[in-house]
This record gives sequence, structure tokens and C-alpha cells, in this order.
Amino acid sequence: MIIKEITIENFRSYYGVNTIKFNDGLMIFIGDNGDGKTTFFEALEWLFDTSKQNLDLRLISEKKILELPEFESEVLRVSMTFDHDGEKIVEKSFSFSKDANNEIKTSNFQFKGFENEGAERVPIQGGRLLDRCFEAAIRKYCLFKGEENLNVFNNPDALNYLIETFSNIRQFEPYYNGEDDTSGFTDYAEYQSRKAFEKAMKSDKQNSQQEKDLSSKLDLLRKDLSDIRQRLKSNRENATNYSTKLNEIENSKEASELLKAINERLKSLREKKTQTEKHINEEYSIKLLDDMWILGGFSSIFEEFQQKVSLFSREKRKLEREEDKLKGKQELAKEIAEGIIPLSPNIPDKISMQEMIKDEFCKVCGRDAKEGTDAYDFMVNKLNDLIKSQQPIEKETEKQLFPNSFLRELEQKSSNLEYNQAEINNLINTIRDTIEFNEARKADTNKIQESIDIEEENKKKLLAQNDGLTEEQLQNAYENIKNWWDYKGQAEKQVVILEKEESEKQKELEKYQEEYNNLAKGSVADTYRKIHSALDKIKNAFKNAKEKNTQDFLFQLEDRANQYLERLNIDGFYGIIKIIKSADGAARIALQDRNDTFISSPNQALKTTMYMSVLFAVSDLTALKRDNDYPLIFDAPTSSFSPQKESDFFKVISDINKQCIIFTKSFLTENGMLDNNKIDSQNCTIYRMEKQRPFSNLDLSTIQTKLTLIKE
Amino acid sequence: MNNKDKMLQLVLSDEKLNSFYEFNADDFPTVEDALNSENPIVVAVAKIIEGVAGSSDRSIFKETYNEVINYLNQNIL
Amino acid sequence: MAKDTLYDVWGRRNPQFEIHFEETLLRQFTEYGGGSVESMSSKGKIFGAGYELYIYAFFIGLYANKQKELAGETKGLGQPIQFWGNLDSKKLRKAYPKLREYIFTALLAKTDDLDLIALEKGEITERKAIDYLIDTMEKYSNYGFHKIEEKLKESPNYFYKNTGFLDMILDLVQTTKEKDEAEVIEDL
Repeated sequence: MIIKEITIENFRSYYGVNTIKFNDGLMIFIGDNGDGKTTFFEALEWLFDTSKQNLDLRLISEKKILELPEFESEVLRVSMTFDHDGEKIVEKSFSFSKDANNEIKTSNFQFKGFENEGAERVPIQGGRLLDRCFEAAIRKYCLFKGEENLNVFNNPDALNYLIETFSNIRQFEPYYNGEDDTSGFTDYAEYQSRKAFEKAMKSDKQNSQQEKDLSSKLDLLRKDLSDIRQRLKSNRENATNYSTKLNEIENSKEASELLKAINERLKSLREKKTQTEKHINEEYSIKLLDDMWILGGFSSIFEEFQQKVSLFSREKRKLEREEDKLKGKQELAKEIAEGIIPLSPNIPDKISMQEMIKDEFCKVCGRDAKEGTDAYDFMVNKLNDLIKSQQPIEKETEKQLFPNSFLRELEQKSSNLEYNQAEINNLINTIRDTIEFNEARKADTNKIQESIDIEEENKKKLLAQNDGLTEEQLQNAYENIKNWWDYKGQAEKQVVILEKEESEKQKELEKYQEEYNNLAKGSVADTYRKIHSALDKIKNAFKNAKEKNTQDFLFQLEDRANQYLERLNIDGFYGIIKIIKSADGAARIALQDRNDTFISSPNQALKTTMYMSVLFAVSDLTALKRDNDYPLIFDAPTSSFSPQKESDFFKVISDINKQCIIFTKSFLTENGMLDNNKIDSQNCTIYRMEKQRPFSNLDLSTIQTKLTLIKE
Repeated sequence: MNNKDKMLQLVLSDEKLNSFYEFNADDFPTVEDALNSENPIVVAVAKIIEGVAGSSDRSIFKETYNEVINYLNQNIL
Repeated sequence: MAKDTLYDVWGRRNPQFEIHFEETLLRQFTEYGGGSVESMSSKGKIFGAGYELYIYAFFIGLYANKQKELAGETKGLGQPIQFWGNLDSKKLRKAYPKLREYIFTALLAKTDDLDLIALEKGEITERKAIDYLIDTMEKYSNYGFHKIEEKLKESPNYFYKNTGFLDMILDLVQTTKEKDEAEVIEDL
């Protein structure tokens, strides 16, 4: 089957009629997340669904709905034209319209097909046509939505499905159907001939007693053997199951350890970040007041204040002295004449004065002031003036020149605040330092956050690589191991015991069977014996033939898969694909290297090429069996590939003689533009899929997928 | 080589069968060839394959069985 | 009875501001109209009581060294100056009573109309002296408020970044410093 053309009309982001023509080789659709790739898939899945009639409103293009005038109707349609022993068409559609309440109503569901019979085009029911040409079993191996869905053997029934669908195994069913199923001809023949033999034996009066003994022994033994075989089967299954589980855990043990390490790093990084953030305090506006940062520029103003106070003080003292002069104090007059204005009485203070007098040393100018000198007398007088000024004021009838003493208050203020001047002067530096500190802590926090982001990314990658094991499952790996070892051990021990029993019983059975057969020799029953023996052996031969058929099929599959694997990994390491069938019929795809060692954790890119190789092989076998090839449609299979590997990958696929449709994000640069270099180096048809601009991510009715052919 | 022939080959290739009854699977590429063989087991296998012919019908089984039994009765050594 | 200091007299006053700033500035940046200073963080306002923005506006005017006469209708803030900065230090804020003293000294430095000698002689009352100081205070703050409003019109989010208020002050301080340095050079 080769897809020729697909039309999608009004299906979700595919507004209006969108038709794409396909050739029979590789075709690439380039689109980013949300551009319409998955919707394309879903349109096809909707088309191929033969199980129900789906007229879901949510499938309809929002843009179309918005534009739809009342009472008019439009159509949602997906159709595919394909070649399968002649050109055929399958189409599914329904109509929709808007009623008076602006509600959408759907109707007229149709699922039809057309095929060519001679020159005529004959209609046929859509479901029937699909079941004939492209039934579900095949579709399973054709449509793959996402890289994680490529592991075709994730489903335990998958291998049996494959074998049943694509090998000749069905043919064997009428002849031999399996150990538990005696519906095949050879079972029938063996049973009948045995009965005939036993009947003949019984009717031979000569040996009737021995015959009775032996035949009852044989019956018992056969029953026992059957029981033992049952128990063997179930124990073997258990052993395999736990073995598989343990293997999976082995693989994830490494991942589990890595995960533990990552989580530990994350914990410590987050703690570090919290600690660092604690030190950041950017409440700068508050600091203006609470820490008085607002005084950063205050120095000059404070100086102005101090100068004003100083000026005020001098002026006051000048006036006071002038006043005193008028009252006739001689010593002061003399000093004024000499042009020196004395200091205020309380400067220096009393304690300092007393100390200097006692030491007979002026500590302001640093010179001796021995008793009896002018300097000493001056100090003593000054101290007396100070003491006098501190005495309670005598009631004077005279009016004072300066009744107020605000000057003192201001001087006091000046003195007090001076104490903090160094701090105030340094505020600008403090502010700058604080801001720098905060910025440095913020930078540190950002760096830590970057590290956190990287670790989270690593964690995501790790979980993705482990076939979607959840974090919890990986973490519980260790707990499960012990239990599973025990169960596996028990089952294996049982198997050994039972095998021994089986073998003994078998020997016993054979012994008695031989005795029984010997009894037959020389009698009429002998011919019956021979016939039964032949039919028994023929039955086993059919059984083995069936097994071999399955083996051959798997070898064929493996062989072809490995050929593809080599092509897809031409420049790198690839290993050998092995398809391993377990006792319960499930299978898994594993990779071995040349020394037959299993590669337990191939990287994602290698895994992808592995699965795709198997899929190509399955497709080959399908083509062989059905004389009809089928297309392979992949959604973003190469997201884990390096850019170079991707380029090579697409080139190899385009050389494979298959219709292959791939949706991908590759060929886009970081800012979502087409990487023309890469595109030029490819040799196949390429479409660009993108949202029509302008659009709003919040408004579905603006979303419309636009398809542009960019390379033929 | 059609599917019946393939099945014949697979059955005749069974070692236990061909060593006990002494015949060579390569000598009988088709069901036709097997039917004409002198080895009664080979003929029996061919008769089974032809007779059942992919059917699971009980009456077909009975018929085929009787044919094979009669044949073997007369020809088995 | 001990006589009141100038500082105390000044502390009992309640300076005025142009009433339209209540709507445009005080309500936006302060709790003016309700709540204690300490709880302001839960309401998302940057400052607590209205006086906090008033203080800020004052320093803008002071550092720019520009005054603007009050015009139109005016009103007073909720609390007299003596209570400014007396915060309950238990929560997210710290008390800053000393800041009042600095404001006081700035006013004294910058109020040329006040004749200190006359005050000391008793020729003018304390009340009158403080009137002069309050007048200076109001004019500086008024200039500051106008400047803040201008900035807001220019750039509505300016004060919502955490360095907004700080930057406006720093800009003025730097310019003044440069001006001073330039003058020094000139003198040389």
C-alpha cells in the first residue's frame, strides 16, 4: 500500500482544505511543537478508526467555527488516496453548523471508500475497505506517535501478534496446536491410534492380567507426568519473569544510582540557594529611613549647621563681652583690646579644667602652666567663671541681655551629633557596599539556579532514557531486588527438583511403555503398536516443525533488522540486535556486542535506530508475505540524535526503498528559522508545517496550520 | 514452493523422525514427491498434510485418519 | 518649670502639605489613611505612615536646595514631628528617632530668616522662630513632592523597582558633590 494523497479539511488546526501529495520515498515534515504534527497523526488515526463513529465537536477547527455564519454548514473531512492493487480512496467526514444559540451541531457522518474495478469506480463501505487493505494489525507497525512509542515489543502480546500475522504459524494450527491444546489433527491421530492399540491389547486374552497392570500403571504415570509438567511450566514462567524484572532493574540500577546522586546534588544546591537568598535584603527604600541612608548627602549641611552655630555663639559672646565691657570689667577689656574673644565659660568643661590645674599643664596647647604663672592664673580664673556660671541665678532686678540660652541647646546638639559624623560621612560607602553585596549574592543565587536547572535537565533525560520508569520506581529498585532474588531462587530450585522428577517419571513411563509394547510383540496388537508409535513420532515432528518455523521467522526478522541497523549507524557503534522470547510468549529487543555480551543501556539514539531497524524489517516481511508494502509514519523519532547523525539518518532512509513519512523538529535553528544548509543537503521532499501568523496562544480560533512545500 | 511444501520440508526435517524411519528430507521437495515415496512414513505425512488441508473440521479429521490408518496397516514394516 | 527646648517646640508642630498629593502620592506609597507602620508590608505599600514620604520629599528638596511655596488647599499629616520615626522595632522595621534631630539641624542651617540673636535676646518668641523653621520645612517638602510627581508621570514604574527611591536621592547627592568639587576647582 502506498499513500498517494491525504486531504484534511477543518480538522483542528487544519483550517479549510489542506491537501498533500505523497511520493513513494521519504517525505519530511518540519514543524515545531504545537505546529500541527501530532494533529496530522490524530487526523489519520481518526480516519482509520473502524470501531466507532466519532463526531466530537472538539475535532472541528476553531477558526472555522468562529467564521461560520448562522445556519450555514461546513464539513470536517479526512481522506486518503492510496495505491493497493489499484487506486483506492477512503474518506471519513461529518457536517457541522451553527444554530440560533451559537451552538454547534454535527450530523451526516460518512465513512466511505472507492476502488477501481476495471474502468469503473465502485463505492464500498469505508471500514470494509480499510480492513481489507490496511487492517489494525498492520497499522500497529506503521504509525508511531513519538519516540517513546517506537519500542514495538513494549506490549507483551506484540511478538505473538507479529508471529501470528507475518509468519506461517497459523498454518500449523489444524495439525498441531501446542502442548496444552489437543485440537490438532496429530493429537487426534495419536490418541485414536493409542486407543485402538490399547483395545487390541485388552482383547488379547493371553496377556490380559499383565496388560491390566501395566496399562493402569501407565495411566497413573501419565497423569503424574502431566501434573509435574504443569508445575514445571508455572515455575519456569515465574523464574523467567523475576529474571526479566531483575535484568530491568540491573539496567536501572545504574540509573538508580545516578538518580540518587542527582537528587543529592539538587538538595544541597537548593539549600545553598536558600541560605544565600537569606542574606539578600533589598529593602532599600526602608533603609533610607531605618538605617538613615537618606543622610548620605548630609555632611555639607551638617557643616553649615555647625558653622552657623559657631557664628551664633561668637556673636552672642561678642555682644555679652561688649555688655560686660560697659559694666567695667578690666581684664576682659584688656583681652578685647588685644583682639581676643574668650571662649564660652563651659568650654573646656569643669573636669578638664580641674585636671589641668592640678597637673599645672595646659592640655590644649601642650605647655607648662606652673603655679604662679599667668597661664596658671588664667586657668584658675576661668574655672571660677565656670563655677559661677553654674550657680543658680540670683534674682536680679536688672534686665539680662540674653534671657534665653538656646545657644547652649544648639551647641549640645552639635556636639552630640558630631559624635556620629564619621558614620554619616561614610554612608555613601555603606550604601554602595550593601548594594554590591546584594548584587553579588544575587549573582551567586543565579549561578546556583543555573546548576539546579542543569541537574533537573539531567534528571529528565535520565528518566526518559529508562523507558519511562517513574522516579519512584527507580528509587524502589533496591527494595525490589531482594524480594525478586528470593522468588527467583525459589522458583529455580523448584524447577530443578521438578525436572529431576520429570526425568525419573519419564524414564519410568518409558520403561513400562516398553514392557507394554513388548507384550504386544508377536500378537495382533503389534501392528497397532507400530502405527501408534509412528503417529506419535509424527506428532512430535509437527510440533518441532512449528517451533522451527517460529525460530526461522525470528532469525529472518533479526537478520533483516541488523542489516538496517548497520545502515542507520554506519559511522558509529551499533552492536547486534537479538529478539529474545521469554517463556510466557513475550519478547524484548536487546542489543549485544560481538562477544555476545548484552549492552544494558544503549543511548537513546541507538535505541531509536534499533527499534526503527526492527520496524523496517517487519515492514519487509509484511511486504514479502502480502506482496504489498506498507508506509511507515514516524513522529519526531530523532529528537535524541546529534545534528550530524540526524542528517545522515535521513539520507539513509531516503535511500531505502520504502515510503516513509517523518515529522520532525530538525532543520530548525534555535529561533525557529529553517536551517537551509541542512535542507539543501537532503535529497527528498520536504514540507514546512507551522502556525499561520499572526496567532495568539490564548485563542484557539487564531490557530491554523500552514503547509508549505520547500523542497521537491 | 508453496506453503504445503514448506510445511512438508519442516516436518520431514525432524531428526527423530527421519533418523528412526531412515529417510532424507531433501529427497522430497514437494508433497507430490512425498506421496509417491516408498517410505510409508513419508507418505503418511504427505497424506496428513493433503488430507487435512488446513481444515479443523472433525469429519475431515476422521476421514484423513482412516485413510492414513488403512494405508499404514498395509504398508508399515 | 524647665523651659522647653527649641527642639521640643518644633516637635509639637504638624507641617502642612498641598492636599492633592494625598491622592496622587500618599495613598500610593504609604499607609496614609489607615494601618500602623509595621503592618505595611502586608498591604504592599512601600512606606508606613504618611510622614515617611514627607521626610523623603523634604530631603529631595534639601539636597536639590530648592524650595517651593505652598499653593492652594493644604492639610497636615496625622502625627506631630515628635513621634516621627518612633516605630515598634519588634517587627520588620527599626525605629529612627535620631533622624528628626538631623532634620532639625538642617532647618536651622538653611533658615536664613531666623535671627538667632534676636531669639536669644527674647525679641522674638520661640513660636515665631519655629514658624520660620516649619516654613522652610514645608517649602523643601513641597518641592520634593512636586519632583516626585514629575518623576512618576515620566516613568510610572520608577518607584516600584527596589532602588527607585534610593536612586533619586543618590542622583541628587552625586550632582551636589560634583558641583561642590567643581566650585572648589574654580576657587583654586
